Amino acid sequence: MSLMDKIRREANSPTVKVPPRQDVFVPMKQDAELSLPDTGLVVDEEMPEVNQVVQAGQDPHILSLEAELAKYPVVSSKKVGVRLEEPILEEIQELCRSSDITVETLLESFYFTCKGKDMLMRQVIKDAKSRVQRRTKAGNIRSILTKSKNIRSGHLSS
Amino acid sequence: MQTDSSTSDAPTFVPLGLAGGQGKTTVGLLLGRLLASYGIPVLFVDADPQASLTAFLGVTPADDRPTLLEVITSPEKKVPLYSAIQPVPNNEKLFLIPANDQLENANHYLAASPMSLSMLRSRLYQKGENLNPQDRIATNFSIIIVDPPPERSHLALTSLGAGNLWAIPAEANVKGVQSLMRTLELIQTYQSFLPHGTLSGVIPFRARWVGLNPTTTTKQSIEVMTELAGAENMLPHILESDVYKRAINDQLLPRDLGYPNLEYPLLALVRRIQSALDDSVKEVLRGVKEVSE
Repeated sequence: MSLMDKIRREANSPTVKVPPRQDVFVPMKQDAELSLPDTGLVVDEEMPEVNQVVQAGQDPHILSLEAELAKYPVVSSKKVGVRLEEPILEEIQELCRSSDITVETLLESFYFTCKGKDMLMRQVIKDAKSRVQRRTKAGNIRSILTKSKNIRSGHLSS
Repeated sequence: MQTDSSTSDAPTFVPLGLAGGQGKTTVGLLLGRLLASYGIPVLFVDADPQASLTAFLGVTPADDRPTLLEVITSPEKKVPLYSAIQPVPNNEKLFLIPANDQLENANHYLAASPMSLSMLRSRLYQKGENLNPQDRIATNFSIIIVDPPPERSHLALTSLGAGNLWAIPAEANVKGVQSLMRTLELIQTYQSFLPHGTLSGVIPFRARWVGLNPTTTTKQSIEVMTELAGAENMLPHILESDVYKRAINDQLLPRDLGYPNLEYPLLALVRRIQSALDDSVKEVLRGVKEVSE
């Protein structure tokens, strides 16, 4: 059978059929329950009756999304720049990459996990304090070295 | 007049324009009908979710039959290319891969693909499919004509990428000049990625004449277009005429309505593109008086 005959036959008696198409602009129904991993935060299934707050011209779908969003914790807009020791940075980046998480959420999770455990928290803070002392000492040494170089090269203004 | 299946691949002709109403569908549709009138088999591809070409050809795709959406988004094993091709009613030389408004979904699919520019071409030319030459779509048609949407979208880009022969119809007014500028910029941006594509020409559309003279707007617009595109790329203009609309609506050619002279710009376009056609088609066209004159 020639290709043209095949095309005509398919037109008369289709053998290849496609499923109903989803309109990209029509929102899909949310059938599954929405819950977060066990961090103590679970979305409440009972949502406010949006019918009661629908005003003229307001989209109920938008309102229900806004109500749902309000249940999530707010992420601060303030950015905290963190500088880490190089080998630790590499390990954390690898951990985040392989676990599909971010450094921010890892830090939040470390804190959240430790804060209920006093002994662990004290251990973490003790280690952090010694790290601060090491960084301060290293910073002082870098400062002395920079000033010495400047004096030797005559760039330091008197 | 009959033609055998060509042994080389059919070229793809794409009328381009980044604004609506510039004549893309008119040029593509009438070119296809004209070639079909000489016995040349033509495959139309409607790449516009507005689906004007599909409507003008009198094709109503059933909801469960593949359209261009499935050609783009489904693998050939699920939706073989031939299954999306529908014969055009009342014309045994015209065929169509139709569109409907769900074709809009293809934009989202293409946006997520690194291959959007070449996607349509790969599908039309069945790249990677293990087929006998006589079973390939591109060897069973003499020309493929794609009707792209009138906006800078992924469907427009993939239509551009599919083309061997690009033409830019543009209204002979300010809007048309702007559309031409933007479309030429689009071609310039992507030309290096599309070595198989070439600009066949610019066709001023809806040119207005009063008596024996073009209106000032028409004259000035065509002058600017000539500066933008180069005189060598300018093709004869299509007049503002109800005959073209009637021909399209009635699924005819201007000659069928008693106006063969209005086909002149289309014949000029056929002459311009015929070197890209298969030898057997060239032979047919050599025998057509109004083309070979």
